[in-house]
Amino acid sequence: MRTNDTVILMGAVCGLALTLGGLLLLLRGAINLTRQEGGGPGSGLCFEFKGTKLSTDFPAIAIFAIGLLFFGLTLWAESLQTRTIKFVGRLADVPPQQAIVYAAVPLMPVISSPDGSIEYSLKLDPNNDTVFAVVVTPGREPVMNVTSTQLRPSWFGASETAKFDTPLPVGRPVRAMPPASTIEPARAPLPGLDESSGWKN
Amino acid sequence: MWRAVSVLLILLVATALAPAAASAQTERGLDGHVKGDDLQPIRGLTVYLVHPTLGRSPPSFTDMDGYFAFSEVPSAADPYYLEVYWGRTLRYRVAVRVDGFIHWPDIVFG
Repeated sequence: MRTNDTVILMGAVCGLALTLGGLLLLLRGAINLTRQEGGGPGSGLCFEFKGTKLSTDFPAIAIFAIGLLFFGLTLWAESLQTRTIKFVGRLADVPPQQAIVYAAVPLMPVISSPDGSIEYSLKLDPNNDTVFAVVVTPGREPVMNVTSTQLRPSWFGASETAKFDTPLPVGRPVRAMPPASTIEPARAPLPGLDESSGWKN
Repeated sequence: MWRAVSVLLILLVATALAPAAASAQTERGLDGHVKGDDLQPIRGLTVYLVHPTLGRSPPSFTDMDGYFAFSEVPSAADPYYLEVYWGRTLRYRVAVRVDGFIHWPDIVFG
């Protein structure tokens, strides 16, 4: 179980415990939904924020409110959660500037029709535990090598690790890197090679 | 009555066809080939279209014919830059204005 999952589960359990516990206490008569003696209207619980005032005569409702708040927060956190995966590996015998490495999580086969057309629904599993390394090396055969590894579980607070124990394979050299051709200077700063690709709208 | 119906039908058909016609007119893309000094195609090069504000396109890798292609390139007032990388090493960059679908002249290294 990942760190985020643990925190979210704890929040959900706290929220449920408060809500169900409040109901149980109410059923047993340990708390009641009646106005406090000697208190005027709205004297039970009062909350004011930026001119908005919320008040109730029945403070036991706060238990349910806090429980629901916890539960709502966990649902919100679940929808926002992202995974951080540490990628650890080493390229086999190739100068690092002559190879480009991509991580794929996951690498999914897409089935095409007999006529070559493709229409396929991708189902992304948030608990996927396989990471692929795709190494592209021009001037070598094969040009593209794909390796996979299983994610290693993390300690509390640490990111998961995709560790490739053996060097990432590259093909055998068949052509040397050619000298640079035309390289026009850019008139404005261009996004770096390490920035995620895709057009910004 | 029939006249009104036929006018309505014509309008409906025109409305349905208009987006397709518009997209056909504004399709922006670019393709080309990369070759070595021996005029043999080079496989596995990474090719990008880069724009200072729109960002970097998804990569295109040259295939066994040295062919690369980009489609659905967004409209831009400023030119793009066509970049070719050998791994992570820049080997070629030129400014390109992508106003329609462009067949770029062969890029020859060496």
